[in-house]
This record gives sequence, C-alpha cells and structure tokens, in this order.
Amino acid sequence: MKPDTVVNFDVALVERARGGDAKAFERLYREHVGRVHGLCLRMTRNPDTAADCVQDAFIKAWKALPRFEARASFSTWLHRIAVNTVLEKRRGPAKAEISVEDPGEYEEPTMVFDTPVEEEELEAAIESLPQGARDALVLCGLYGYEHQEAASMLGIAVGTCKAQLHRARGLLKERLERGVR
Amino acid sequence: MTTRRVKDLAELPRDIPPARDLWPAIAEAIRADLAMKAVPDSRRRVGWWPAVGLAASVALVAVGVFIGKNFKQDQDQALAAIHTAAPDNDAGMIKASLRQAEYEKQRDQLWTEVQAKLNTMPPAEREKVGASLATLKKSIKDIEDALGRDPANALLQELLVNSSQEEMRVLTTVRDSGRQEL
Amino acid sequence: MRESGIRSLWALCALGALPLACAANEGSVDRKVNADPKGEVLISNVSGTIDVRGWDRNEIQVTGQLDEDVERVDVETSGGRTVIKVILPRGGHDGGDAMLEVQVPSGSSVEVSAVSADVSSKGVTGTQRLKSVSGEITAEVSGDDSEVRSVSGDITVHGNGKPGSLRVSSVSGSLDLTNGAGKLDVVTVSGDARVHMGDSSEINARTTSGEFELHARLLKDARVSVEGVSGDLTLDLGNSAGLALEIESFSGDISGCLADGKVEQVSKYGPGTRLNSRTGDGSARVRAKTLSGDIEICDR
Repeated sequence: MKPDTVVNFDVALVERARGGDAKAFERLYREHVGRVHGLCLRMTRNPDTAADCVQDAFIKAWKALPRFEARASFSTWLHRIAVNTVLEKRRGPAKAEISVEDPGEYEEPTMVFDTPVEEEELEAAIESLPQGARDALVLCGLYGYEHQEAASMLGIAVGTCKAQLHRARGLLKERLERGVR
Repeated sequence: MTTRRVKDLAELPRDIPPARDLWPAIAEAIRADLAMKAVPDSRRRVGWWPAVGLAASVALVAVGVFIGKNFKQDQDQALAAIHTAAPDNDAGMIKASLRQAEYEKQRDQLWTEVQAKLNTMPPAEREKVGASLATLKKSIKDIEDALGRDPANALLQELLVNSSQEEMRVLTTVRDSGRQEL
Repeated sequence: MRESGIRSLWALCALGALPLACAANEGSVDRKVNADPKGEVLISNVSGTIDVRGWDRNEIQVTGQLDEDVERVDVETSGGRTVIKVILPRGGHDGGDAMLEVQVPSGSSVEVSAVSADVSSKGVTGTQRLKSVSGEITAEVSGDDSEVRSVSGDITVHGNGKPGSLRVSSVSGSLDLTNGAGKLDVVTVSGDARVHMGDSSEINARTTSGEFELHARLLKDARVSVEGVSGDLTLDLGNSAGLALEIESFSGDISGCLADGKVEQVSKYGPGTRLNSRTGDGSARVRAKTLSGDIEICDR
C-alpha cells in the first residue's frame, strides 16, 4: 500500500503558493484538508484539538514552502508537518513502554478482517488504542506510510514503529472480538 | 442509522472534512505573514507578540500612548508605531518597562488631579462624570483581562491601545475643564 | 470688597477711563461693537447660558441678564478678533449666572468656552469651536470645520447637509447629530450617540459603553471606522456605495442584513466572531470592532 502519489496540478499550485499566491495555497488547502484532518482526528481523538492541529499545520506549511522540494510529494510533506504538530501538542509523556524487538520478526501490516466489521466499531476500537500503537496504526495501516517514513514522522526508531504496529494489530483484534466501545 | 461494514482497515475513509471551514484563520495568518514579509528585515518582529504575553502588551500600550500623545494619531499609525517600537531583545524590554513605569506614573498623577477636580463639581455632575470615568477604567481592565488569556489577539491589542489613549485624553479633559482659556 | 470694586470700576467708567470694559453689572448687559464679517469671536462664560446668533450686520452685539454675583462682562475687540468674557469675582465660581445673547456676523468663526453654561448657536457659517463642561450644547453647524465638546452636557448638532468636517465629543453626555455630511469624528465614553449623516466620506467613531447608532450614505471610497468596548453599535448604511466590511467582536454578536450567514469564528483562542464581506465594488471601507458590544449592520 502506498500513500497517494502526487497529482500533477499540485506542483503548479505549490509553485504559485511559494511565490506568495494565497489563493493557490487555498486550493491546496481545499484539496488536502480532508486527509490532514482525518489524520489529526485519529491521532488526537478530539475534534477541537484536531481542528487546531489542522490550522497550525497549514500555517506552518505556508511558512515552510520555501524549503519544500518540488520533486517530493506535497501530500507526504504536509502530513509530516501535521504529525509533527500533533506531537508538539501532546502534553507529558504518554508513550507506551515497550521494548524494541527484532524488526524482522514483524510481518507487513495487512489489516484484513476475517469477517467484515462495522466501520463505527472499528473507528471506536482504533480510538481506544494506546497512543503509540494508535499513531503507528493510523500512519501505516490507514494512511499507507512505510515503516521508515512513519517512524521518521513520529520521531521513533523503525523497529519501535514495527513493534507498535504489531501491538496495535493485536489490541485491535482483541477489542473487536470483545466489542469494545 | 446502519454503518457500513469493512473488511480491511484501508477501507476506512482517509478523508474526514472538519466540521467547520478552518480556512479563514489560516488566511489571516497568511495575510499577517505576507504583511510581515513586506516590512524590511530590520523592522520585523516575527513571533514577538505571542511570546511575551500581557505585561509586554501593556508595555507596548504605554509606548503607543506616548507615541500617540497628542491623541490625534490615526490608529493605524499608532499600531504601526507600536510594532516598530516593539523590542526584540532584553535591553529593549527594559526600555519598554521603563516607559511603562513612566506611563503609569503619569496616569496615576492624572487620576489624582481628576479626583480633586471631581470634588469641586456639583454633586449631580460629579456623579455623572465619575460614573463615566469608572466605566472607562473598567473597560480597560476588561480588555486587559481578555488580553491576558489571549496575548496575541490583534483586536484586543488595538482596543487596549485606543482605550488607553482615550483614558488619557478624557482625564486631561476633565482635569482641565472649566479653565477659562480666553 | 466686591461692591466697592464695582463702585470704583463705575467711577472709572464715568471718567471714560475704561470704555471697552464698561459693561459693569447693572443686572444686564447691552454692548455693540463693529466687527469683521469673517472675524473671530471668542466667548467665555462660567455659568448661565450663551446663545450665539449669526446675522447679516458687521457688528457684534452682546445683550443679556447678569446675576448680582457676576462682576462684569468684558468685550474687547482688536484686529478682527473680539473677546467676550464673563468675569466673576476673584475665586468666585458658585452662582453668578450670566444669560448672554451674542449676535455675530454670520461669517464669523466662533469659539465658546463654558463651564456649566448651556450653549446654543444658530446661523453661524464660519468655523465653530463650542465647549462646555456640564452645560448642554445645541448647535447648527455649516459646512466648515466645527468642533463641539462637552464633559457631561448633552450635545445636539444639526448640520446643513453640505460636506464639512465635524468633531464631536462628550464623556458622559449624549450626542444627537442630524443632517451632517462629509467628515465626522465622534467620541463618547458612556453617553449614547445617534448620528444621521447624508453623503459621507469619512466617519470615525469611538464609544466605551455608550450605544452608537449611525445612519449614513457612504460615498465611493469612503472610510468608516467605529470602535466600541461594551457599547452596542448599529450601522445603517442604506443607499451607500459598494461596501467592504471588516467587522469584528471579541464576545459580542454580529447581526443585521449584511451579516446573515456570513459571520465566522475568528480563531481558536477566543470566542471572537468576524464578518468580512463585500457588496458591489467594495470601495467604501467599513471597519467596526468591539470587545463585548453587539454590532448590527445593514444597508437597506
């Protein structure tokens, strides 16, 4: 699974936005806000905090445009800023303590369910995950980032990311079976 | 309402639009950024306002009040003057604090003189004018309180500068009222 | 002491030694002097009334009644400038009413300074500066530059509908302005202000807690700036040129036909709401801001 590839017209808009064209940036906002918001919402679990993060992320993106390399994916770059924003917003250490095991031990995150699950129930189960596991699951399992990319975004080691993802899968399965709310 | 059933995590929607349009606040920040970029480097005060909080905001009001001392200054000019004068280092902050002290001394002195003036007025007039002055004082306090919770709020900063200038003007008017100048 | 002072003054007047100052108190005043048709007239009174009337003669006439506590009324004229001053005994500020009527050439520029005296002015087409501390001020102003100020007295000003420049301020008095045009500056602390303007090019208004109500027809490229703290603002801009609105309130409501469906949250920190919109070519800029006062704005 791969994150969205760059849509061609993004490049033109980014160039114009870089030149100070706020309208071009607004078009980029309109195009990407849904995804950025979805990411922030699932990571923060709070609509108000998510909205704050979205606003902050786009403002930071605007200011950082001069440093954006046109060849890279704007979408990925934007998500990275959004994740950073969420992490900055978090207060106090809320990371799960888990040892980093051999990265090779973990299989790829295929989150396929044997029987279909209600969307609402699945969202609730994701929301109930501990922070570290949730972050890894959202970025890798939902938004399709590779472990390396996700780990870099989260500021953790690749191995830790894989471990968190593995943990997330286990907890998710367990909670869905139990019918957690 | 029945929700849809999914077999794969990837089937969950990635796009979740926010409940309200978040663009206006972003647009505002972009406008401020563009305006800042239009100012020469030496006069930029990027990120200064959010960093310093109420005490400094009030200090800048003092600067603004002194700059606009003739009380006729266009409010845009007064605010621009404040931003120009906004200190970006410790020495600057100390200067701003000194101006703050000077402003407060002048203000306190005026209040004392006005109180003396009120005491010479007929009771009905004293009550009317005294009530207005109390309203003015309270309004400044209300703005300061709001600014304390949101130091970077441009509207509150503008209201504080203008209301403080207004207070000085009114105090001077009341103190000097009745002096036959002809 | 005061009586003998007056008697000595009278004696001196009888000798012709102080011809101009001889409006010594006999309970009334009646003086006439020649005046420049566009000269300056400055009038000062502590207590009582000052009624200024413009006429078509090149003369200034001062008539009126004086309380016994008034020492005299001085009328001095020199080089196109006439000063009319009510003199109270040294240190005397209680009582001592002087009810003055002052006829001036209509083209005069007039300056009145009163403490508790009520002031009225009619038929003057030159610039006017009318100030009273607690007295009421009622004035007809023409297109020229005019300034009306009080501390606690209520102010009523009627313009002539021609473009001019008017500055009005009061601390606790109310303000009632009608038939103005051109430029206007209004400041009040707690007094309510009601303003009716015709064609307007610039309006600046500030209130702390007083209510501010504006009816004006804004010209193309007009500039309007209204600021309140807790006072409510009502802006009725019917028949105006296209408007560019920048309306913001920290905790007050924004409503009115121009606001319907367009008011938005300002930022994540506070409750602030804002209305940024345009009508027509948006050439007339309207800014209105309050802390907690409500803002109502409509153009029909």
